[in-house]
Amino acid sequence: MREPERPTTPEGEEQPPIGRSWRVLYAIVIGNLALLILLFYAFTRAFS
Amino acid sequence: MRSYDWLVLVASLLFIVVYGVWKGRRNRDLDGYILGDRSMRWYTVAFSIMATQASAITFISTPGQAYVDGMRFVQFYFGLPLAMVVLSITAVPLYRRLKVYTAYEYLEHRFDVKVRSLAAILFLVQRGLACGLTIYAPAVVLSVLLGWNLHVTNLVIGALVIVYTAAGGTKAVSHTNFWQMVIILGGLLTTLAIAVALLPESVSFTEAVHVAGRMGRLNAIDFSFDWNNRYNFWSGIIGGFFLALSYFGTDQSQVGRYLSGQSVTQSRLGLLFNGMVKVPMQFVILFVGAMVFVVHQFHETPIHFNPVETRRVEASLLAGEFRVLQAEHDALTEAKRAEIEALLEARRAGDRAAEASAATSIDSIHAQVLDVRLQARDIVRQVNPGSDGNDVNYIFLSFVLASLPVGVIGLVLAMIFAASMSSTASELNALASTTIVDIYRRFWKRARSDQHLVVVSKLATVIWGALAILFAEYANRLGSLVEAVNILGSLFYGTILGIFLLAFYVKRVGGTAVFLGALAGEIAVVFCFVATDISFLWYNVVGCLGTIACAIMFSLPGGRRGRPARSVTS
Repeated sequence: MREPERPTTPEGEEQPPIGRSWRVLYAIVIGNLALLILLFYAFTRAFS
Repeated sequence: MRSYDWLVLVASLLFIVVYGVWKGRRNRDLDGYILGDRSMRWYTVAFSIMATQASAITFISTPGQAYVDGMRFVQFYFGLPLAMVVLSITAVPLYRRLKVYTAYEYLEHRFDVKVRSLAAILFLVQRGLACGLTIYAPAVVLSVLLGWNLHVTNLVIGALVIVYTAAGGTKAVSHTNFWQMVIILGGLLTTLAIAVALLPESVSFTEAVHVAGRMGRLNAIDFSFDWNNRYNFWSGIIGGFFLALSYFGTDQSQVGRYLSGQSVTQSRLGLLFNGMVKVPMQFVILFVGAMVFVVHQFHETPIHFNPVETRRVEASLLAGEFRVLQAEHDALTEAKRAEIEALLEARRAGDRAAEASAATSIDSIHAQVLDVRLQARDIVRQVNPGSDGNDVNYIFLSFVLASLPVGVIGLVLAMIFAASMSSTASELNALASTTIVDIYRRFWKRARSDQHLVVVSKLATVIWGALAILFAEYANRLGSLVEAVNILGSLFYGTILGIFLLAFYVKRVGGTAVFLGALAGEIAVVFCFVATDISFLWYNVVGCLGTIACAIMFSLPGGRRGRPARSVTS
């Protein structure tokens, strides 16, 4: 089953299913990495 | 292994093979066979990407890595999420717009046929060898621990994969990858839960984590910069970024996974989901190793985890010396256990001084344990000069076989097989696609029908599978297998990535300059490998930057080679 056509951004790109734009989604992925690094750092410090 | 374990293992393997053949039964043209008719939803793309990267080596070797070296290996994956974002912005829309079957096809659109062929050949060499390792790694460990015949194990894993990959192409690979990933995650979480349950009743989970941390097994982050330190934050985020960019952006075994997505959106979501969950998943795998390490602090363990090598030593003239070392190891382990209990007691009582004193004693005894293990390793090497004495790949499965309940052992073995088969299937699928699209169809049989190309693609899958099994028969003395695979990849990925970055971002550079730049970049990487001690993650940077710099230099006025860029860059 093919997914229905999605609305597009002004640049002609398909909009992502979550978040206002792809930029927001990319920021979430990078923010998630930053958060993980911080958590791992705290984890290393707490248990070393 | 009991009959329930066999039942779980055989049922899982049969399900994968039958499901794969069934899912791929309607391939009539090259689009269906190589791209799965571009019909995959994002979650199938995501799980397929993850299952392709997570080979059996990941699950056999990585917990052992945490056991002997701590969790710092997790930093290796820090560049991956950044690479997923970059690829979602650049590669995905570009590949989809050009409707290419392989990543290398794009290089002919952008440069010329020799650059496309060079990249395709580098991929075929690198991935062809790595595919053999993907089969060999679980086969050797399973054959040693379970007494299975290595050649038969290699053959069974290889043959099962060949059956459904050749029959069903990309559809079979992507759909089975999804269920293989489900089996893998199920096995992983079950193992973690049981490892925690195996701790002595007097030791809580938090205390176990403290013990692991005190003994240097939770060193997940190291911000210090050192070129020769294999795993620190900087090598992970920079070297790991280049490696992931190259692996996911230019390696057909991964490109093929997201090219099968229904749309740009579905392909992007698959990559980004991988970027979100890969690092935590590796953390959990390493954490399993750290917990196994703690469990072993409260139980007797062998001085060497490879039972075949141990039996060989016990039958040799050095058996007496080995027994003395084992006795010394047991005594030290007992002393260490007493100190660990003292440390936990001091923690509960809030006695900082006693806690610090116990920690110092633990460090001192553990250093002696490591020394004894190294001496045992030397004896193994003396008795069998063909062995490197490294037992890191046997630690996790030794734990599984000795400690896990009936049925769960079968599940973990199914997990190992699933991981091996998922990676091997994607690799064979990619090797066949590249062979047919970039070599066979490009140079010999340009006008043949789709039906003919599907038949030769199936034949290419079988031939590459047979070569992989053959190489698996000869793969040995590679130390930690997870490192061997990554080192092999790093020898080629940088150069291939350099070619693709030039294609994506540098407009004023021609095909011949890129071709010569790539050769120069590869020579620089081989030089680093042969003549320096630089950590292998940096090979990706050297190969990539070397290729880019040399290609630009060859393109400068007076050194211009090849025609300028065509208008396909994003």
